[in-house]
Amino acid sequence: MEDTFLESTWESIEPSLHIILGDDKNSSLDSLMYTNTYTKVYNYCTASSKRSHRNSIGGGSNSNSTVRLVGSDLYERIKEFLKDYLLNAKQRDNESFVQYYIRSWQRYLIGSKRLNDVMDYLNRYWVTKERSSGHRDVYDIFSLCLLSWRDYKFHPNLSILMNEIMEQIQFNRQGVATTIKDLDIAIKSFVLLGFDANDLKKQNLSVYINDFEKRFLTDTHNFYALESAHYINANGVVNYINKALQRIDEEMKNLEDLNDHTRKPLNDVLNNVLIQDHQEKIRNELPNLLDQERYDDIKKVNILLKRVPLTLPPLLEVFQKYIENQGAEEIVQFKKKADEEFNLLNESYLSSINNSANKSSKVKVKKPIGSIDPNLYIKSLLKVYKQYKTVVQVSFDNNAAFTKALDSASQKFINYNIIATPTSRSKSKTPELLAKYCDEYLRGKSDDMNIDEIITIFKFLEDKESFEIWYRRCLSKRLLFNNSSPEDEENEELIIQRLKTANSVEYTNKITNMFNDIRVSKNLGVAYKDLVSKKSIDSKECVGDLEPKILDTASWGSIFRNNNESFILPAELIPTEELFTRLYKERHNGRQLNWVWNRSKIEIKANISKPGKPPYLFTVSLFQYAILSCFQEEDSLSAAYLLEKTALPAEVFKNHMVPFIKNKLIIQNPSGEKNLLKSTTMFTIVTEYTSKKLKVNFSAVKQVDARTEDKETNEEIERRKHELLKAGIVRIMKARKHLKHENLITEVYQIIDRFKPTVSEIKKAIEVLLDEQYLARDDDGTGYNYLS
Amino acid sequence: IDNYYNHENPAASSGTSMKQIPQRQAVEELNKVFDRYAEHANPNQMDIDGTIAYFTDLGIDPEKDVEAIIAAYTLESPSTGVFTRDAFVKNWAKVNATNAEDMSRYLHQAKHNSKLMDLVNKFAFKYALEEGKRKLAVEDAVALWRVIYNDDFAKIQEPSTMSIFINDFVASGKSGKESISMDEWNMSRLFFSIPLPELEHLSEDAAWPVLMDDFVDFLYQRE
Repeated sequence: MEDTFLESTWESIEPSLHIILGDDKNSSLDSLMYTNTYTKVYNYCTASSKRSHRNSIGGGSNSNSTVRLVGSDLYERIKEFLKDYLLNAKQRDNESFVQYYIRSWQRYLIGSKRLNDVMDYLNRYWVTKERSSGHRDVYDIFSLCLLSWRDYKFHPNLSILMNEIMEQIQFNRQGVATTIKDLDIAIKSFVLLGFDANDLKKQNLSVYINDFEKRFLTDTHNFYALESAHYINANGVVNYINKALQRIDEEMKNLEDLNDHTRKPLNDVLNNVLIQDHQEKIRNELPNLLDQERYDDIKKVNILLKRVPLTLPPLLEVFQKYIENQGAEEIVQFKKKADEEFNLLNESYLSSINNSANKSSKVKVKKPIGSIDPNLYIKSLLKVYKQYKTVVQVSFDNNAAFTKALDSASQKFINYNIIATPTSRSKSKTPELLAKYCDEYLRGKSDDMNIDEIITIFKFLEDKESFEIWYRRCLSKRLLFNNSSPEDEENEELIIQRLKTANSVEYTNKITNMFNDIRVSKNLGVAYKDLVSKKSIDSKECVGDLEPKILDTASWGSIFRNNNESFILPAELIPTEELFTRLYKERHNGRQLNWVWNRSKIEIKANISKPGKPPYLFTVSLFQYAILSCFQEEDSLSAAYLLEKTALPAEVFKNHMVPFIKNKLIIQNPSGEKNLLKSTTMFTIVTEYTSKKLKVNFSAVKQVDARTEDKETNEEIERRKHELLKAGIVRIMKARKHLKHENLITEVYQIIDRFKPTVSEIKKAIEVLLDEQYLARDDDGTGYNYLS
Repeated sequence: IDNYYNHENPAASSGTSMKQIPQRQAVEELNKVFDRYAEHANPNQMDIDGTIAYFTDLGIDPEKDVEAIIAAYTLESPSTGVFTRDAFVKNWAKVNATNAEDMSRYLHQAKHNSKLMDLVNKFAFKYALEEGKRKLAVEDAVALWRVIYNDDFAKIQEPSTMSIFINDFVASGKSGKESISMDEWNMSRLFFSIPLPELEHLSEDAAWPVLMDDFVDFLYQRE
């Protein structure tokens, strides 16, 4: 059946449709034509509708199919028209396909929108009804335009289109100039051509992703794989990093031309091909860059690798290892230098001995001591730490992971290095050297030391227990033998404050107690003086000027551990001892007072000057005083007599006698060191003593040598750790009652935090507890039971 | 000890030839045996001379044979070389040994019972300990080990964990030890059961006393 109304309508609108979509002459669209077309479509639709309505009443047939038929005819005409239009539109001779595509698409898109507008009535009246009754293959006119473009323009030419688009992108990457503009319009057409048949308003990226993005990503990957491999080999890692960063920047800018969906996959591709594939080379460059202190370049390494988080752990490892090695090497060099200096000094010392033997020259060269200078040692450790702290700041943005790597590395080289641990199983000497550094600082030995340096290293000490014991040992000497100024005391307190903050109140307990002891002792000294000055019967034979130091055994005890040699106090000092003891007991009832004789010093006035000259002032040790005291009655005494009278051990007696003989206060007969202890050797005190100085100090007695003291301290550390371990194990077992060996070890490591016990140290503590029957082995011998 | 015999009697289970003697008769016979060696001053006790005579009659060398220690354990000897009548009679009667032959056979068989020997081993340490001491001097410990492992020493062709440990490590002084603790002693028995080649894989993390770890280090010349 021929529909004449449709034919006449179509004939009248078709030329306008041409102009709307764009004709060869590029005719302009005027509003009158636009309105006319709209009206004709409207008339057609409404008239047909009335007609079909009449028909349906008259014929009594299915009204729906009739209604559908009406819009459908026009719709089909338009569909045909679009097909013809698109198939007939041709590329110009002087343009590439992509140029043609961009040009015609731009025009077509505008046309499609207008066409949609003039067909508005068809859209609203017919298309909407069709779609709502389930006809998903019917589209609004705009969508129909796009669909037609897709089918007749896009799909048949997709491969040439993509080739040319990718060619343009590649030109752009290579910096080749092209005349083609608006490439993004072509790319964005892919987005519009995606359809969701169910919901035409919803964006559908299937065309963009499948036909553009996949190819784009593959080509991008291939391009950069080739370029980066070539570039890194030809120009080196540092230049490559700059290049890679620049490339990433460019690609991020070019993302503006693409759909945002591509952002993540493109980043992934770039990260893979530019970073992950070269991460090893980049990482291995780090040591070189650190060697050359090229911190800005390192920063770039960080910026680049940071884009791929999984490349960071291996980088951290390289960084940490590098610092460990630098730290170890720094100390190796330090030791080498120290050894060289020692050898030089030693040579000059040895030659000076030879010279003085020959020429009896009076120039004395001290025998050098081959020990480590604590200040220089700590400075060397700090130098490495500070250097890489700067690197972390400058190059790694103070990132926590890099700070942690630095700290781990520092902890390693600070606790373990050729000086601290010369053999694999030796205990670290760093705590000892740091304590000695503190000592030198507090004695004001050098100006370039400070508390911050102490605390920096302290925080890295694994064995804080050793440090505390060494610290107390040095402190005891400062407290006993130094007259500290208020400023010194301030510094002492400052360090304790900082140690307390860095560790715990409990940690500095003993140190604090030692200070308190000295303070309390001063008060006690004042009280004693008051008592003597009252000149009661008790006190008339007492020494008036007594400087007592009352030291609590808990904090000081281990320091005086090996100082209990036999000795008889000279009779004239006994009232002093008794008076003071009484005073002390009155104040502190129930406490036990032990006298540590070998730490006492005495100043005496000696009336053995030449007639008319003032008396000498001698500073002597208490033992020396006891010796001199014997000469009150006799001028000449035998070694046997003196030993018996003082009850001193022979070695101690000898050490205290030597200064008298050297300074010619006492004459030994027969002379010579080997005769000194012979029982028949006679000692005679001079009757007139001559010395240039009025004050003579004899008390510089050869002490137990430093090595024994080191040994003592190390023994104390061992004991202390052993006790801490035992206490810890008992605490754990008391709570757990039964534990397998390995679980006990794990728990011990959890609660012992001030030092890192070795397995053998823990086992020894367990064995002692087994022996003391605090613990018993379980039946199969692999665990322990707590015995209460 | 009583508890042990209630559960298992090594001699009875293996000695099928033994006659079942009525309890009263056994006690009588055993008292007669004891009389032969009893002290004059104290007839309820056997002193060192009587003990030596007794062991000689059983064919046991009290200085060298482990059977002497098994006897001390079995008969609840309160101190070296001393046996009391009550314990002697009670314990021999329990295992139906009333004459020298039975007794000797019992002791020889007992040393192959490893469960019993574990107890004997633990007993031996305390038995050898001086009054008030908790550790055994190295030379005493070595002497005691040599008695306990006397048979093994005689049998072995090549060095074992036990022989190297006792001879080359402890007796030689290379262990640096002056005395052996009870734990070290008790654990040594289990330790000696480890074949020599397996010691290389012994971990310091296991529950062995430090002495055993030191031995492994010594064996493989580790620092």
